[in-house]
Amino acid sequence: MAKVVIDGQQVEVREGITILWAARQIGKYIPTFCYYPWFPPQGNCRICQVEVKGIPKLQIACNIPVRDGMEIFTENERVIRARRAVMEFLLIHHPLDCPICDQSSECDLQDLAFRHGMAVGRYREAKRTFPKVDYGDKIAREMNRCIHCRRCIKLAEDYMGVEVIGALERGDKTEIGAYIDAIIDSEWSGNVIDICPVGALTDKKFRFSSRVWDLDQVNAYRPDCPHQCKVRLGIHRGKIQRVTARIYNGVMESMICDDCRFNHYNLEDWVLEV
Amino acid sequence: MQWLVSVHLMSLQVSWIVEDKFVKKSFQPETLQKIEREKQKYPDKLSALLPTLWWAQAEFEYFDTETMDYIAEVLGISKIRVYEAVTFYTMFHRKPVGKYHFQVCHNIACSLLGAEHIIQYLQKKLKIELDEVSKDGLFSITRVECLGSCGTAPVLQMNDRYYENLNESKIDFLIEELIAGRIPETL
Amino acid sequence: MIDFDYKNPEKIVFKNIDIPGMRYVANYRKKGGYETARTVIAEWKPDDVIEEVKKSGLRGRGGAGFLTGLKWSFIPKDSPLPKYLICNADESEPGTFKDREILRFDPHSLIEGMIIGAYAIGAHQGYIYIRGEFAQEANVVNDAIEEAYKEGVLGKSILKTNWDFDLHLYRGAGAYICGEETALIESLEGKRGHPRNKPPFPAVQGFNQSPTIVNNVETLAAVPYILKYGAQGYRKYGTEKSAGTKLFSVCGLIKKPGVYEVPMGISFKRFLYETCGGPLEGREFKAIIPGGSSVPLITREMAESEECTMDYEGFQKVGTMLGSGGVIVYDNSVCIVRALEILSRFYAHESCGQCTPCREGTGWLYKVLHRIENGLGHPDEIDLIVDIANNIDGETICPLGDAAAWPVQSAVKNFRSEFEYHITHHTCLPGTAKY
Repeated sequence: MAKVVIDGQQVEVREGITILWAARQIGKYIPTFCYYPWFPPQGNCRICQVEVKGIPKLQIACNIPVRDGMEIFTENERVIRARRAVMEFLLIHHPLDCPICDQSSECDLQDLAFRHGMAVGRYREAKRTFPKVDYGDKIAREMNRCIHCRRCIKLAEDYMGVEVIGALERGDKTEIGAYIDAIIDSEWSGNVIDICPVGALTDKKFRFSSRVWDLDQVNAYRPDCPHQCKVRLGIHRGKIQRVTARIYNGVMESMICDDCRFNHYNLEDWVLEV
Repeated sequence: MQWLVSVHLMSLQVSWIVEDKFVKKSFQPETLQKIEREKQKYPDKLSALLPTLWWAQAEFEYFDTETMDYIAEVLGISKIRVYEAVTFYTMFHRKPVGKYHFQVCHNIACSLLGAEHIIQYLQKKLKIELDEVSKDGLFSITRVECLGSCGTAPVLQMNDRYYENLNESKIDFLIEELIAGRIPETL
Repeated sequence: MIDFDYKNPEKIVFKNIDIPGMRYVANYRKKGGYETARTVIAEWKPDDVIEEVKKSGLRGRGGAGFLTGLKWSFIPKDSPLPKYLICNADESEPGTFKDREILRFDPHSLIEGMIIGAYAIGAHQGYIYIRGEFAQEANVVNDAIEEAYKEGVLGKSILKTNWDFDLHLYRGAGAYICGEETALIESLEGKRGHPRNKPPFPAVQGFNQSPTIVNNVETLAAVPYILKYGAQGYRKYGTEKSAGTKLFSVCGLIKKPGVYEVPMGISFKRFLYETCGGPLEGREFKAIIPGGSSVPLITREMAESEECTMDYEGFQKVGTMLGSGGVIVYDNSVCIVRALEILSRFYAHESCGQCTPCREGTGWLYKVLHRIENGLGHPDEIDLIVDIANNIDGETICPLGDAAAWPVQSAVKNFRSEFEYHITHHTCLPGTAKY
């Protein structure tokens, strides 16, 4: 066990866990974008930076393991300034299309923009845009909204076993794209929608059909499904509008198959867990 | 064309059926041997990607979809890995370039000693825009970042060769030589 | 005061660069080459080699200035994994062209340095990662490696000892970021050159997840000298904390640009005026970047001050760094805004696109600076660029973010009036030119 001090609060945690988990244990909030508990930390979003006493640079909480005697600050002025800076960088190219974005209200970027975003933008140049690419009839890709967290790449490679999406170009032209006209060819492909923290990858069939806050979210399963997927239905006016994985605290409980996600919009197909 | 592409994508084992119509890219046998040897040098075959891309550029000039497909197949890696690398590294061409490809450094040291003028002069002389190939297919010009020869600025790289301490008369001489089919050692 | 003949600088550790024909193994051996490597492998214990390099005070010449011997000692001794030694010949820092001289004219001292380094850390595999643009240099090094294999200098039981060492050349393809050691490792693995998070450090988990040491060309090429003349022999030059000699590559608006080897600790002012011939006719110095484009620039007054000596500490005293030793000289005809615009264009172009502050920030900086330079800036944008730079500084995965931020911070700090002039008059300061 390691004794660490987080924002003045002494806490005893298991040796070797990251600062992020140590902070979460005592209910301290550290925002994350690229971090997902399913994968090793990538550390590219830089939003989870915290100050560690004795280390001159801010450190990313998702990657640094705690050591005995560490003193960590997660909400001092310097950390908040860094978060605001990262939010500003993420938002300079992000379109202001929340009113028409399907991710709206369950978007990590939106939540954090409320918390740490600036009211006034300082970016006066033209926003970066990407050409539209067709990802088939299941997934809608809106690259302009992407924050380059790369969780979709990781999910496709590590959990679906398909290597078709990756980072292309470089610098601020970096695009998360597929190989030429390839689509994600996997019966689990729809899960990239759930793992995307913003509205860059959305459900094409759910597109513009209703707002997320209007949906009744009900856990359900389909007896015919060979994978026994644990899904959550989004129901509006007695109709299933969309099917997603069950997401608790921003993390999927398990992946669900494309058959469940895209092909069954009849309530009769499902057993609701009410 | 559509069916040719689909045949190609389906599997390479069937591509020989239409071989007379469909000229599939393939490396010279010596290059394939070199690639095999290169793979042995590293713990993982993915490391052989960059050397293979260099040889591919030497043989196929630039990278189109077909070339990238073929490289992925030769190395036994996924196509996106090839595509990622080709788009990341600036020295790999994704569209045709001239036989003599001028890469003029426009970084700080070269700029201070007149790189912008050199670029304009080259454009005027060859009557082409940047990143454009001249009608005879001989020349193309592009701007590049630091070539690592700042002491002899301004510098340009023509294919693999550096030409340093450039000025107008040296460029005149260089282009004359190149049109005559001679590649000068230095200027 | 350090003893140095400013008027007639002569190379010391790297004297081979000036001797023609040293790229051939026969000539190199005639001068006693590879004798040191043989003696070291036959008679020294690896730990003693590391100890000697530690004692010599040799610091990494790539830019960070970390103690080489200390770095080597981080290799875990009991690891069952293979160990790798990688030479970083991805010299792409604007203003730096010293390694190219070693690669072109003295590749064997690099190979010998690598053999010694590999023996010290227990590596049987080595790679030289050379930047893609250096095609001619790659040929020279490749020929040298092939010759070395034929001579039994590389391969199995090298130099008639029982040590095996294989060395391969790997050519990059145009990415400045691959000069960062973890990005270089990624690139060597055939991937995009995306820097990794630290920890774990490469010495523990590097190439192919195995312990790896990445050293600069100049660092490795100095190792044979240290082992030949001993740590004390090397320490004859330089200062206590900055031991030995350093290659400085001088470029920009100065009379005699080129690569000079100097013992560390000499006067920067005398070096600029006496060794490099001073400013061009009728001009005077305005600002100087002493360590490659990534370090803060300093004004003429700071560069010419007493305390500005050519070592790690001396440059730190005047608010900059020794970096890679690439001296870029601006004289009074240079528009600082334009010069800064060129540098930020470079960093925006070379950002790998992985982490947020660098990906978005470098592009933003360039766009704003481009507008200011072209007379379209707003008065509040001087503070904006400083603020963007501050927001990038220290918040990225690798030092490229810092490198993009420091020139901006220092240029605005020292030459703020020029930026203001650009905004109010929509043109360059009188007397300065847009290069």
